[in-house]
Amino acid sequence: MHIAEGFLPPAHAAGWTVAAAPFVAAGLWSLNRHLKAHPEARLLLGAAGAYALVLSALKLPSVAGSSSHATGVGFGAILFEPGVMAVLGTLVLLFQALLLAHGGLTTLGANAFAMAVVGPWVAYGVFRLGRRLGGTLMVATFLAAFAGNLATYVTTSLQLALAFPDPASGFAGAAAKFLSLFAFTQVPLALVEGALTAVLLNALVGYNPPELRQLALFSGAKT
Amino acid sequence: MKFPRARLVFVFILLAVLLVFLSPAGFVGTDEQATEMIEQIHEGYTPWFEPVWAPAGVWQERLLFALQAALGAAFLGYYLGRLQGAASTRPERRDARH
Repeated sequence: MHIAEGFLPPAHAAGWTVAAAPFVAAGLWSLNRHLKAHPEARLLLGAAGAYALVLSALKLPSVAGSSSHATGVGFGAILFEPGVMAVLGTLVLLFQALLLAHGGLTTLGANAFAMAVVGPWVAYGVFRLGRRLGGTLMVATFLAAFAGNLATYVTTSLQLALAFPDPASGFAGAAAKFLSLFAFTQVPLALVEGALTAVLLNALVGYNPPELRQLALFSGAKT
Repeated sequence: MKFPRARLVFVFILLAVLLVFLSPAGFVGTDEQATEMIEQIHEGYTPWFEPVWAPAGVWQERLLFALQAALGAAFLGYYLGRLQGAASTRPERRDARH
C-alpha cells in the first residue's frame, strides 16, 4: 500500500523522509560491504530486487471487490538481512513513483519506511524466530513474508492516522478506520505473498548455489 | 547455440504480464480507498504535490505495470535458469533434450 503523491502534509512527508534516511544509508553501506566480500552474490541480490519489483507491480484482487499490492520484500530480507532491502525497496518505490505515478516523491520517505524498513525487519525477525522455534524453512519463510506484508500495511495505516487524526476520535479513531479499511483486503494478499515467497526460497535452497551458502542464515540450511 | 534459459524467462514474463492484465478492473485498489478515507476524515484536503509524470490512461498504466512486472520476471527467470543450468551440468550428464 503506497501513500499517493501529495497525500501526506509537508511536515509529515519530511519527517518520514528523515526517519527512513539513516536506514537507507546504512543499507547502502551494508550492500556495498557485502558485494565487496562476495561479488558473486550480485545476481542473487538482483533476484531479490527483481522479486520485489514483480510483486509490487501486481495488483491482486482480494475480497469484497477490493485489490491491493504485494510487497515482495520478505525474500531479500530473509536472505540478505533487512539493511539491503532498505535500498532495494526504496529503488522499487522510486521506480513506481516516477514511472507509474504510484506512491510519490513526497511520500517516498514514508512509503520507504513502511515497505523498505519496517516490512523487511519484521520479516527477518519472524523468520529467525520461526527457525529458532524449530520451524521448517518453508514455514518460517511463509510466516515471515506474511508478517512483513502485514507490517507494511499496518505502518502505512498508522502513518496516515498520524497525519489525519479523526476530528472526533483522534489518532486512535483514525488508526482504527484505516486499519479496518484494509484488513480484509490485505490478509489474503499477505497469505499469497507468504506462499509465493516460501516456494521461491525453497526452490533456491534446492539449487543450493554457492552465493546462498555464503549467507549467514543458510550456510547449513536444513529444510 | 540454443539458449535453454530463454524458455523459463519467457514463461515468467508471460505469467507476470498476464497477471497484470487479467486483474479485474472493477476491483478498487486500497490506495484509492486510502485517499478517499483521507478526504472523508479531513474534508477539503487537497494534495499539495502532483506526480511528475502520470500514465495517460488505464491501458497505459497497465502496460507500465506489466513492463515493471516483466522486467522483474525476466531477471528472475534468467537467474533461476542459470541455477537450473548449473545444476544440470554437475556430475550427472546433461539431459539430452537440451
